[in-house]
Amino acid sequence: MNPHLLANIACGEDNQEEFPELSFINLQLDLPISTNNVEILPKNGVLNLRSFPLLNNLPWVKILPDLEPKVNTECWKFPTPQDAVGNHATAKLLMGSGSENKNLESEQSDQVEIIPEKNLTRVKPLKDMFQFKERLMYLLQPPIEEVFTGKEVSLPFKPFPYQIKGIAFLMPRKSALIADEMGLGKTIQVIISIRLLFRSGLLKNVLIACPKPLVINWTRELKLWASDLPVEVICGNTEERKISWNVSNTAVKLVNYELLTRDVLEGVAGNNFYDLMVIDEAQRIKTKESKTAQAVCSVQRERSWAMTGTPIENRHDDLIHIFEFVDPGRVPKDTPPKMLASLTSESIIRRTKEEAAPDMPAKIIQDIFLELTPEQKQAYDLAENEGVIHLNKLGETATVQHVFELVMRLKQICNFDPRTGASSKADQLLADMEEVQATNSKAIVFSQWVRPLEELAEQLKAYNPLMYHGKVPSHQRQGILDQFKKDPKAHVILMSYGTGSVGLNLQFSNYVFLFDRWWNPAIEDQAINRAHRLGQKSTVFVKRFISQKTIEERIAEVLDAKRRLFAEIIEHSGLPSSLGLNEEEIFGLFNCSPRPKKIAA
Amino acid sequence: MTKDLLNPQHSIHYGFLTINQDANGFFGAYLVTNRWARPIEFRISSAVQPNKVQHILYGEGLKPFIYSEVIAKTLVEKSSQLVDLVVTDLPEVLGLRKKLDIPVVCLAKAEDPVPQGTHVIPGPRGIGLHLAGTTEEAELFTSFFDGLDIDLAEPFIRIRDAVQETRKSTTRTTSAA
Repeated sequence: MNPHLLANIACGEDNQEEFPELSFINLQLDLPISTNNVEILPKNGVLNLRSFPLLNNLPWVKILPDLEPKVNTECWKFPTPQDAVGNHATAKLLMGSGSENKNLESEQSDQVEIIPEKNLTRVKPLKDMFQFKERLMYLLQPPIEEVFTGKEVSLPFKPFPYQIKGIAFLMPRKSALIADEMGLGKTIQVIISIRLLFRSGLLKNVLIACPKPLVINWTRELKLWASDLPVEVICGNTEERKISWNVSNTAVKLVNYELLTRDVLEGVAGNNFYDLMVIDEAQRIKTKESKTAQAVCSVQRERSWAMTGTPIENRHDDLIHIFEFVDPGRVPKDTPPKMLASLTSESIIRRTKEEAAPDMPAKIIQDIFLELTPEQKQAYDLAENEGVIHLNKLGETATVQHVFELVMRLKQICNFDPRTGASSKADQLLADMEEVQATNSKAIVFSQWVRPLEELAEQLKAYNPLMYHGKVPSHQRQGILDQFKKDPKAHVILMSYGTGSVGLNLQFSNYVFLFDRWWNPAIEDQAINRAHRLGQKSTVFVKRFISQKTIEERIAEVLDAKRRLFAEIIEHSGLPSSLGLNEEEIFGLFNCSPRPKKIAA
Repeated sequence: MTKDLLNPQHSIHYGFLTINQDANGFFGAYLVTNRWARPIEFRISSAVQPNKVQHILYGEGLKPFIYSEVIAKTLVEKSSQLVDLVVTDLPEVLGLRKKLDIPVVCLAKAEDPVPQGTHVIPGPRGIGLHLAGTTEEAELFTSFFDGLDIDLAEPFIRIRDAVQETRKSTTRTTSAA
């Protein structure tokens, strides 16, 4: 800064009274004079060399502040988020895919939905989140709705508000138990949370453990809700699994409890560290001493999320043991029941159907894809091969009746193995019934045939099943329905589509299981609507059992395609009866052509 | 740099910059995000309290000077992440464009006066923007924002919350000391 400028500054408002004479100074000297020594400048503008020692000495020096303000900055850097462009086209495709969530009525559209600030859901840092940077990171995440309304993350359907709250709950937590009632979409909430955490750069690898029959379902749900996440199912022989565990760097690894237990205890799973481990049906580790619980808890991880609709099945210890995984050491083993809530509440989210859908009970349909048991698979393959060979032998003489018989035979095997009675569907139903009973609800099970219903009645004895099908004399039927309604111990009624699908008011039930699929989705809808009708106070949860890689899956695909087609053409006008399979489609199930029709002469 | 904006492979970064005032003076907050407004870096400045000499020296130009040349410029320059666009909610920050080679846009309502030397361009989701930059940049960003699905106003709410959090943290630290 040169002295000339200093002289001008000294003429300022502050200094005029004190140094009026300085206004006459017009120095052009190139001297090391700073703001500190302006006050000793001579009146006549001629510097006396004897003045120089005073230039920097108090009390002659008046210090002026810096003319250019200085600022410091403080900075926090966060993990690098993913920058991939959202695939909106995929979302559009998925919207029309007829998936299990087609009941979710809200659809994405090209028009941007502007959500008022007060309705936005923001991820909040936790009370016990002591790292300031971590708190800031969550505060600075975009609101969850914004992620969906923009094109960053494509979803087949917009999640329900309670699901968005669940996602906001899960995202910042290292320890979480999501204990929503069955059918509220725990899996969806977990998958979307995982996806958003990947997007934020907060996750790199995830391990999901679930019961064996649910592996297929998880695979499908992951594909549907997080198609951009690479998923690997850990399976195969020991060597293959070793590679999956230790060499593969796939972002999401999926394993069933049996394999996880074996591989951890035998050292096959290695000593890998996961950013997140999720356990589905967490009641599987409710027995602390079990090998499964030991294996699950021994996996090294940063975050631990557990999922179950029944966190306490029998005793309060169940929850304590689940927390051995969720937050080791948080809940001492002898904690009295009264203390449990205060120790665990920060990490648990649970919504009932009534809470989730307070106004209008929703109907939530889930397709449950199940793998045949080995016995069923063997019987199925044999019957299919023989059947197709037989059809081929018949050649042009094959009729739709022949194909129909084969289809029926295969569908029956999908229900139960004729020789051993093994059934993956029955196993799944038994597991689901635990929750039906635990929530003091009632369930309706539909089948095309009476025989499987009788078989199920045996297996479901603990739930006091009632039967309602064509073999039940008409005069007994109303009594059965009354008993189902009034008897608190009667948790399930087994119905045939033919007898039970029309005209009954069963809105006191809110679980419907379609043990096998009817030919026509309109009939299925009617069956489901026995429970989902006026007067229903709770969300109705419908599970459609489909055996994977069987005729059932192929039929479901054809029916879904037809339903979509009709929905597009005849919107809101109901489903015509022609939704069932025609002759060509029935032949098409086995890649056969229908017999050529004779042309009239 | 800006020409890459229309290239879908280009990693776009935004810098959301605002300035607040409290008892200690003016302080800035700067949030660097990726194309989806996900946070990468957050930076706040110390408070600047202009003294009387500065008031005299700069007169009416003091506020824009402190906003754009002192606080905003320092925040942007110190950031480790180069951004393609600085978004602000304060017209005084538009002067930053003269100091740095980065386009600056200010959120604007229809009734807001258009600052001298800026272009009015349509932003994403129908929001109005004043852009400090060249005509070429105005055309480029008009194309860029067309069909872009991002709420440019929303990150300022996050910044506000984060600033409050840092203030609380400072208070706690001071109390503890």
